[in-house]
Amino acid sequence: MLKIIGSLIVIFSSTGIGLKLCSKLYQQNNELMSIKKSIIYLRGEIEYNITNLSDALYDISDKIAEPLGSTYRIIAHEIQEKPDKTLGEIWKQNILNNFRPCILNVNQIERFSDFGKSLGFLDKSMQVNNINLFLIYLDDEINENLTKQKTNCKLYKYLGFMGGLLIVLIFI
Amino acid sequence: MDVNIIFKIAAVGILVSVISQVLKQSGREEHAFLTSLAGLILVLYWIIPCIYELFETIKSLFSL
Repeated sequence: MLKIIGSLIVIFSSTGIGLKLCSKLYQQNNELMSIKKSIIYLRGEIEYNITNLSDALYDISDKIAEPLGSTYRIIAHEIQEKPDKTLGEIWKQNILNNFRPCILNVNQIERFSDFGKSLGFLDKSMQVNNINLFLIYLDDEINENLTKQKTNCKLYKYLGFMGGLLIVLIFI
Repeated sequence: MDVNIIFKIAAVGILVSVISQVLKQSGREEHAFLTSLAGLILVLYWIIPCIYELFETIKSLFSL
């Protein structure tokens, strides 16, 4: 009886590990979509409303989900409160500290934190062009993630379950 | 030695072949090869003591 309970625990836990790895891919994609949405809002604010950056970030922070919303709010606040720091430094510091680095990979976090350097000092059309360039990068990352999701999610689920079965077989 | 070892070897064989197929379909042929190799080593680890015991029994039976 104990053997059966132990085997079930091992199988469920290994299947859970597989499902967790699969869900991490979904969460990564959701984060990237959320960032893309926020950057599209920012482009709209810059291009059509012609608001300054801190007001634009405050407006956007209400429309998007946490933790990106609160990160933008903090950045907008620091732009006003710390005039001695450049926007690039404020943006990078807050993205690296407040954002969820464990979901996105290192390259994506680096690219997103470097995006702030291109904001706030060029004319409107150059800023919009930089935003469009970043959106192209995000589209590529999202498509790559979707492909990875399709191949790897099934793999992780099956491997999780069968790995658990194999461990049970070895030790029984 | 009991009969369960035969069922264990059969189950490991089936599982390893299914895992290899899943890995091959995902484009990870090297991992599939390593899984098959690991399964083979595991089964050999179970079988070799039994084969050794068989040879020892034959040796003692025929006083070789």
